[in-house]
Amino acid sequence: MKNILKYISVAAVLILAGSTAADAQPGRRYYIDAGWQFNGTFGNDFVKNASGWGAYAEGGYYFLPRIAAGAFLSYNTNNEYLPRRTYVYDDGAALTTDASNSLFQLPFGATLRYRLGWKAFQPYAEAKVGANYTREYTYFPTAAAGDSQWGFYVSPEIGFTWHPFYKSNFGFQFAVYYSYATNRNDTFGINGINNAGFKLGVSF
Amino acid sequence: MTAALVLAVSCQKEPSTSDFDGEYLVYTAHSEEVSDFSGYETFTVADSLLAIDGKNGGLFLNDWGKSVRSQYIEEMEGLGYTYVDTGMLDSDLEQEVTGDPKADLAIQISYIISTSYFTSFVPTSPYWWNSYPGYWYPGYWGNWGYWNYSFPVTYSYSTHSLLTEMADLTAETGDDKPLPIVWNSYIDGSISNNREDAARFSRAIEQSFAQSEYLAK
Repeated sequence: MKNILKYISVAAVLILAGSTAADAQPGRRYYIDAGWQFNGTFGNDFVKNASGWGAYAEGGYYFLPRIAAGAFLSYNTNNEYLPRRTYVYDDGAALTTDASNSLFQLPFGATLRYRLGWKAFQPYAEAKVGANYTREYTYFPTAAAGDSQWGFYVSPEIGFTWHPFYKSNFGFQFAVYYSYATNRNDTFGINGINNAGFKLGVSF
Repeated sequence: MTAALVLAVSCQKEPSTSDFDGEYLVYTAHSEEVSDFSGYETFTVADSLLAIDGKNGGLFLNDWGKSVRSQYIEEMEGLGYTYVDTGMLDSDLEQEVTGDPKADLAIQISYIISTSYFTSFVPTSPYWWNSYPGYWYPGYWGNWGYWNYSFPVTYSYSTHSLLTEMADLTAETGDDKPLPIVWNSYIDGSISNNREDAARFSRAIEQSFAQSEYLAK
C-alpha cells in the first residue's frame, strides 16, 4: 500500500512538474520566427501574380504578457512573363519582344504583436511598420532594364505559433498578411504596391 | 542587420531564360525629319554584310549573308521600291561605276558577333559606332562628310544581333554635309545554332518591316 501511495505521489509530482513546464514554454518572453513566405502582388501595372520566392525572419520581446515589440525582415520576388507583342512609341519607334517583369521587395522594420494566449497554441495579431526596398527589372531575351527605390511599409498580420513539444520552445508558425508600400516608379508603372500572402515557418 | 539586408538583396530570383519564346527582339525607328517615305522610289543594298567582331570589323558574304541581303531586297520591293544594282563592289571601293545607277535609299547591314562597344542612350554626335574600326563610313555611299542620326539608340550591349540602317542618298552632298540615316532596325537574341538562327533572323527581318508601316509607298 505504501508503495502504491509512493508511486501515486511521484506520478503526481511529475505530472504537476510537466504541466508547469508545458505552461512555461510558450510563456517565454522572447520569440524568434523564420520560414517561407508566399506573396502575391496586386494593384500595380508592373507585376500582378503570386510567387513563393520569399522568406521571412522576425523576433520580439514580450514586455507585457500579451504584447511584444520586435523587428522583422522579409523578401519576395514576383516575376510575370509578358508574351511577345509590339510596343509602338510616339516617335514612330516600335519594339517587338517578349519580356519578363521582375519585382523584388525587401521590407523590414518594427513589429507590435498581441497574443491571445501563451500556452502551446498562441494565436496572435501583429502590426508591422517599416521601409520597403524594391528593385524592378524588365528582362528581355538578352538584356535587362532596371531601377530601385525605397518606400514606407505597413502590414497587418494574423496567425498563430504552435509549440507542441514537451520542454521545448520549438514550434511552428502560420500567418496571413496584407501589406501596402508607397514605392513609386513611373517608368515601370508602379504607384504603390499592395501585397497579400502567407508565411509558414518555425518558431523558437 | 546590415549583413542580413545585403544577404537578402542577393536573393532576388531572376526569371528563367526558358520562359522566353526564343524569337528575337526587334526594334525599329525612323528619323525625326523623315516619317513619310513616299518620296523615295529606288533603293540599293550594300553587296556584303559588315561583321563586328571584337576590336575590328570586316565585310563578309557567306550563304547566310546572301539570304539576309536577298530578303531585304524582297521586303523593300514588296513595299513598292525599285531595286538598283549600283554595280559597286565592297572589294573595290575605287572602282568606276558606269552610268548613273544611283538609288534614293541605301541599306547597310551589320552583324554584331561580339563587341565591347556600348551604345548611347540619347541622340549623340558622333554616333556610337563612329570610332569602331572598319565600320561603315559615309564615303562608302558617296560624297558625304559624316553621319546624321536624329533618333536615339537605346541598347546598352549587343552580341549576336543584326543592325540595319537605311541612308538617304538624296541628301545634299559635300565633304561637310551629313548623310542622314532615316531608318534603322535592331534585331537581337541569344544564339542557338545556325539553322535555327537563320530562320529566326528571317522572321525578325520580316517583323522589322511589318512594324514599320510608314515605309510602305
